[in-house]
Amino acid sequence: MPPKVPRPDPAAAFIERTLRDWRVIAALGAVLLIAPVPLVWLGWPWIRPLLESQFWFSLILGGLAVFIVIHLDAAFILAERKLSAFIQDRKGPNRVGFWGLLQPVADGIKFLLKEDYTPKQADKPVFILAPALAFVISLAGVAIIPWFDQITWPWTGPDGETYTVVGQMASLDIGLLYLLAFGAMSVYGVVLAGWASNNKYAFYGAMRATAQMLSYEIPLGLGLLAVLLVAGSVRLEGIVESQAASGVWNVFVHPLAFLLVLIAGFAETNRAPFDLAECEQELVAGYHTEYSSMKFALFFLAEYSHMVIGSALVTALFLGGWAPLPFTSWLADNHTWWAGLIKFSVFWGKILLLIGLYMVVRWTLPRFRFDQLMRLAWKGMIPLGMVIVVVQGIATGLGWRIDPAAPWTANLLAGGLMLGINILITLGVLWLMSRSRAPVTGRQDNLPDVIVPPAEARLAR
Amino acid sequence: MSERIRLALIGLAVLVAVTLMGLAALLSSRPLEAFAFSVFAGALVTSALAIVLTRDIVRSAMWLMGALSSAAGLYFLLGANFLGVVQLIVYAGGILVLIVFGVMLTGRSPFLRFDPRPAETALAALVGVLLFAAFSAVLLGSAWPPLPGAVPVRQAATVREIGRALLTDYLLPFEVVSVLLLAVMIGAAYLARPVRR
Amino acid sequence: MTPPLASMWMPSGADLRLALPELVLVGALAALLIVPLLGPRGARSAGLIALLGALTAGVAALLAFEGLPSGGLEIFRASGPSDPAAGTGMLVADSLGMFFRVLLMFFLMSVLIMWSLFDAPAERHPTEFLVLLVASAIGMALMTTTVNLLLMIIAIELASLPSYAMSAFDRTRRAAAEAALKYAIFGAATTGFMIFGASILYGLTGTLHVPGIARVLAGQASVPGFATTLTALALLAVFAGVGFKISAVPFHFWCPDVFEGASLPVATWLSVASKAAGVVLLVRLVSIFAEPAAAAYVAGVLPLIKYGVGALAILTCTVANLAAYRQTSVRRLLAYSSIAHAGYMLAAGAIIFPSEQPSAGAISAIVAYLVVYMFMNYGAFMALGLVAADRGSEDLDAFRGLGWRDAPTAAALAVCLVSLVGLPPLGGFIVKWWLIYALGAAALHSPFLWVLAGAVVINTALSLFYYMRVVAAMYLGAYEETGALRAPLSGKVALHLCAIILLLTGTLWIAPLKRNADGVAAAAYSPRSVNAGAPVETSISVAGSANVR
Repeated sequence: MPPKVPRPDPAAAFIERTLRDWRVIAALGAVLLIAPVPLVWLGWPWIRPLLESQFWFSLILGGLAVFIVIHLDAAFILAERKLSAFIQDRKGPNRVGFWGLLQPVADGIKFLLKEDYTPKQADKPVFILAPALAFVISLAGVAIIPWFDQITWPWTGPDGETYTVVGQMASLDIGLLYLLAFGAMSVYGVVLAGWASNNKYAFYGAMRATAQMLSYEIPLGLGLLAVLLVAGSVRLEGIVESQAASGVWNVFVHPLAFLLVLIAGFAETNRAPFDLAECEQELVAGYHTEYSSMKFALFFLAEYSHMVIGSALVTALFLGGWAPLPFTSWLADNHTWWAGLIKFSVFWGKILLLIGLYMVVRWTLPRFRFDQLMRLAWKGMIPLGMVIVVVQGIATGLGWRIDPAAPWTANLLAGGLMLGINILITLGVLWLMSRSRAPVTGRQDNLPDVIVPPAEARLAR
Repeated sequence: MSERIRLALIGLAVLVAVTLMGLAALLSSRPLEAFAFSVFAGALVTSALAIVLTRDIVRSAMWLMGALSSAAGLYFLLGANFLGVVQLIVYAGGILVLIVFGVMLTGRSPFLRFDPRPAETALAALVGVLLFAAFSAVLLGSAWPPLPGAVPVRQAATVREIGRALLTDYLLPFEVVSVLLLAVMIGAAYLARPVRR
Repeated sequence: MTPPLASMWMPSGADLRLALPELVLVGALAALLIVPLLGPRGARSAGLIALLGALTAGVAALLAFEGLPSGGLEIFRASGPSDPAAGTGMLVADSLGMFFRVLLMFFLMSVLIMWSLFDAPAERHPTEFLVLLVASAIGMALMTTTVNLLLMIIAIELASLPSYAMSAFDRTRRAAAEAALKYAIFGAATTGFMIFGASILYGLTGTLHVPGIARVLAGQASVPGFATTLTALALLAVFAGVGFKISAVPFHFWCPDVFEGASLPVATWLSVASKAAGVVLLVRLVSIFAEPAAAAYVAGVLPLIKYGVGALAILTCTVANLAAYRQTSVRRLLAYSSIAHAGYMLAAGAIIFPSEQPSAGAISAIVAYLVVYMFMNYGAFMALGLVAADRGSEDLDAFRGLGWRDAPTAAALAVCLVSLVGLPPLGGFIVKWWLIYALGAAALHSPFLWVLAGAVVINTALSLFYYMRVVAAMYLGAYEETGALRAPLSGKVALHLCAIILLLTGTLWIAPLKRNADGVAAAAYSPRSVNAGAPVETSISVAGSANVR
């Protein structure tokens, strides 16, 4: 007797048919894009004073940024799946919506509807707190990212005064240190999750993650130091402005520091090739083994938010932030609203590019072994970072600088000098690596020999 | 009295206190600041109480994180941004992680729960009350802020000023600290190494 | 925006020359770490580097005595534009500090010799140990020469933290780990208190410069609302930190355990160097607070320090001497003895007056005391080590019959012990007599000091019995015949040298000792003489800015 084929539910069939229609998607997108326009137009008298005061503008900007980050997170999940499929020569999600575009929505619904299971032996309050902490801390960096420099609104007040707002939620004197502080705090989500689950795999995952994050904070900090010395400021907006004004982005001056920060950024997000904290072959799923439903989703979101904030940091520090083009100061002094919009978009464009890089790296490189991971940080990146900082420190002490007021040729020369030194350092590192007897991939010399049971023993069993 | 009830009671008391403070903040001349202060101070007091009253050592450490972070919040509120961030980086991000690590690595042993005897609790409470009384008497009874003739302390030094001071006037302590850290690192590395016999 | 190198602040050559002993030690520390990488490893070369470093530093300190102005001078002066206390120094270069450095370096060399006898042959990690030892020596040298609260705290930490690790250095002994933990936790708690006190002082006065603090406090006598209680609390907390280093009585619990748990050279090092540094720091603090004008005397701060330190001294020597009775382990006995001696030196710290003379007397007494105490304690510990190496035990029983088995060693040890009691004709008696004399001389101004002098005398009598228990064990009673002490010759030589020096200081060398001690005391740092010639007169700018406020 053939198996009974269930009759398709006509309602479900209709929904599926509708969602697969690209015109429906297009219409939805159009509505979402166009809907705000009449709303803004209608509410203009109330919106205008909000835009004029920095306080409310900061709140709006922060809300907008968080909104974008969260929604991008969802989009990234789809993008990542598509990209991995492309790299592995598969099709990837293509069922929900046209090209699978509504897959994030389906994922979200799935997460919300799944059973939210808490293990019996878990430390319940901590178990609940951990994903929340992870997510909140990952978003904290939004507050100091300089999305654009400033906007002078085209209208004037009753007394002819102009209104200028800054494109940053909080212009903090401590700048970068704030990001470092929250980077240091981001360990907690993972550690507490691993602890509260009361599961040894989760715990191992948490321990690995902590060791890794603590180790990679150091090269990250060293890379940042080099940039600080170039810009002469700890403020993120100061660093971006110095790059935008001279047109010489830091990535051209300090490519090695850029690499350090980028790699440390990969490690801080716990993504492949640094995903030892959740490597499936060894630890089931690492620190979130016991998590399900929306709590699990929070960890996922935290990872992607971390990526976004990390990319924003790299963008601001090395890629000129909102500056649209290198080697020119185009738009740097333009504070009109449309220029602000362009800068905002340029910033996000750079973030998207970097995240693309993150994804490609994740799906192309194999995972490190733990000793290789530690060796890379402690024996590779930290000494290199120290060399860079010392070199830049000496250069700064000798009066080397990139001065926005100087002609661009002089700046190009100054930048080129540092670039040359960087290349020399790279050559030196390569030379050292070629000389060192220890293989770069790492070999554990003090491991016990693998005991191969004699043939008889194997046969007897 | 079970731990849950005890913590719930603390939470309730603090909630009431914070609400009252928040309401009072609305009446003050700078409501936003006063409100933020009441939030941070409330969080600080709650976590500090909870550190002491929680029996589970990991949760104690967690509450400690709460206490340290709210102290950092208070620093931010006072305009001491650098101090606040250092508090977060060094204490909340560094030392406490190590504490948590250490606690977790010792496993679920009997040490993980504090079960003080009543006499110990009483003694600790007595010492605490005495210290609190002494400190509050001193704080309330002092001409505070500084004495006449004192050098006025600079308000809210920026990172630039702090860095400059560290590398000029305080260069010697800075260098001595680096020697200190070197020695401590060597000592710690030695002590942490497994004993080879 | 970016300062070129030329405009950066650098310490002057004179500053560096006066801080040469510390710099040499830092160099030795670096050499200790680098040399094993380049080739020669092992305890011998490492010990040699440390010895050379100590020798050079000691010679540098000796040479630096030349040209030191009387009253000392402040070096590493703040010159930055940002500092509110511009012109104040971080360190002082004065006779007391230089004297202490010479003493410390000499003692460091002696301890290195002891280490090479007892520990070095079996030591698997000589570099680590010597780095810790040298680092703590740097900390102690800085402790005694700083006049800045911040640097003082850092220096105390630099002296303490390596000591914690050193006392746990023998990883195979559980007692060592336990003692070190006790030491570290106790130390952390007192450091916390000290930093708390220091920050209150800073908040009250707005400066970290100790003479500056004293000056601000001194000006407060007639100001209503003067925060006496707060100041008292802060000073108490700061002195608690110093008291911990000295192991004054409420903070002494770590001392016997650590001395027992740690290896012998470490115990010797801590028993003299750490305490001496603490005592010198205390004396310096006290004399600075006593300095500015008689007005402070009325304000209630000075009597507080005086009675506090005095009470601490009485408590320390009495409790330690009483506790020493119950000990059967000679090492614990010596630990309590060292606490008691710290108590005697503390008593001199209670002599503080706005006038010059008695304070100089106290410093002179302490200087002489430190010299002699170093020799007698080193001798006692060395003898203990020799006996323990031979008999495998540090109990009193191990000493039975030593007087008949090995008469010279026993005699030398007896000399050290009798000197520790303070009986004539040995150095211990002379210096204790000067101490009591200084107390008596100052007591003419303040009758309270009679109590202190009495306490020192009574405690000397008390201590006689437990030191004599060791001597009695060596000479009286039955013992098993085991032949002469098998001990390395150099150890015996060092022990005998100590005994001879104790004999000489008690007889022929009284006058030179006194003369030199007085010289050191007379030329010791005094903020009044230093700041009179300072380029920036801080007190004026202080008053000015306060008025503006």
